[in-house]
Amino acid sequence: MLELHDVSHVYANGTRALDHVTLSIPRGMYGLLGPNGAGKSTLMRAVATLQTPTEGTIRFGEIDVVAEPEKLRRTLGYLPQDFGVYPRVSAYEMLDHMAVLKGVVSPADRKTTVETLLNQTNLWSVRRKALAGFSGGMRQRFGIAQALIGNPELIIVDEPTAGLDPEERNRFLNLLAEIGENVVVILSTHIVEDVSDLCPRMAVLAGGRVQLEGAPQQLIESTRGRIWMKVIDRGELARYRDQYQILSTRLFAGRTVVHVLSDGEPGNGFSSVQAGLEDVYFSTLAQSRRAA
Amino acid sequence: MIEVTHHQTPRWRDVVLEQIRIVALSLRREAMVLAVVVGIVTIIIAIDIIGGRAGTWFDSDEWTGVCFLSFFFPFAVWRGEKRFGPAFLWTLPVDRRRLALTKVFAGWVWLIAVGAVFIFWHKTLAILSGVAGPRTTPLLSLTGATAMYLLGSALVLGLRHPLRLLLGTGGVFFLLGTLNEAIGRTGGTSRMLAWLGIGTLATSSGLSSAVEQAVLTIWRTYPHLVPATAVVLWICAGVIALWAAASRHRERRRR
Repeated sequence: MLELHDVSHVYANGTRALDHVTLSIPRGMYGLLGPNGAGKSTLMRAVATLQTPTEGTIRFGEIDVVAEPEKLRRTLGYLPQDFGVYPRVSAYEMLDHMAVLKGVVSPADRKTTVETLLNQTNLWSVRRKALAGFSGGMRQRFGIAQALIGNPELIIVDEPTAGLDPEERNRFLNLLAEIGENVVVILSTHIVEDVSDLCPRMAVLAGGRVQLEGAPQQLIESTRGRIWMKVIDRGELARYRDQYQILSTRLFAGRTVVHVLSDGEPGNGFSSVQAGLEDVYFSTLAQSRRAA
Repeated sequence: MIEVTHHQTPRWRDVVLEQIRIVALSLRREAMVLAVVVGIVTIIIAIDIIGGRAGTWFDSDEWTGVCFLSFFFPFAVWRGEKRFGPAFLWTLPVDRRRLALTKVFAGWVWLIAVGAVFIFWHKTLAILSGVAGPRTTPLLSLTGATAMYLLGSALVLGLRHPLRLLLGTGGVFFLLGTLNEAIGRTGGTSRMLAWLGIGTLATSSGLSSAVEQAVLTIWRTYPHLVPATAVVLWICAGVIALWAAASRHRERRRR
């Protein structure tokens, strides 16, 4: 289990990116949702030992991550949002290189590791192709392959599906689901569907703080009967924003579908709808903004 | 509590050998292009040798060119590798500063190898040319190449945007030179560049006359001592700069 206790991080310019974050992350997929600037990447970098939080403790099993980061790195797989690769090197050669640097020095073990990962990530047919020629989805799959070298116990995946087309996204999520059963996988994203599709537990981060934490299904249940929907003309939106707590708007057949949060029936033609994780997420963000 | 499996930390010998291998792989295409260019130039020189016109190929050493390319070689070595921000490199189970330095070392190994091949090639052609008293690139130029490579590596490793610094510095020199020319003070920029040049200390107009006299005396008595001293000093400066740059990436622990 990954335990974060009272983790805070203040950058040199005074920005408080994390504010007393406390989380217990068990084995399996764990979703970390939040808007841009919420502190997700800062938190991921702190856990991945790329930066030391200014306060708080992080423990993974018996490892004190803040005091002994090199110990965690021996069992860590990390897929950052934007990672560089040697453009002229093939996928096979790059994975082989990473395997050595991660301690898989036996040539036979390395061969087995690399070939297994290339097959697992569906990159075997392009193993000799230079990485510069990979599509976005192929690069992300390569990224997860390198993160899996050495059978890590903790895998951190930061915004992995950003920029992927639906087919690639689906393929990537299926891959994550496969690996997420027996290790701790933290999926940091602002795409709600990624979390709802994959994660049995999640947290919402906003303003550097944990705003909400729990199982998605339970969180959705907590908003039962409080989400209301109506289809309106686009020109009416401003008026509705003044009157109601609008969680989200989307277009449908040229008109605007609004979801509002209300403990009681708002009247005025609103109908009750089954809440989704998106509603939970937006209502949490709205509450955090009001509290700020 | 989860029992965590710890994987083997790689041996430094394996890390060094692997960095040498991956630098070679990542510069494969450039090496092939260079080989083709050298092949074409060899053919041209051979034609000139046969025609008795080979003298111009061996009337200067290429020390400055070697040092210039050595300074920019680290940009090729580190191409594609994120040095700052979240990057694979810094999440590996090895000491970060040492990992960065092994990569610099790997690049240096290939620089010296290519440099040695170039010098051997130049000398061989000079011998075959039959030109009297040919000037070729000396093996000693590899020391200057090392110094410039270290400084270039320090720049690449220590700065997020090294090219901006280079372009800015170049721009400043250009503006100063232009200003000097405009107000009638010619040669000022070239004197400054000579003072900074690899292998010379004594010709600087910035030194006091007493120091300059002493240096010139040593220069006349031991003509190789001053440039040798200069190269040693530049290499030391490169090592210090590189250590400082690599230390930017060292592990920082909260006290």
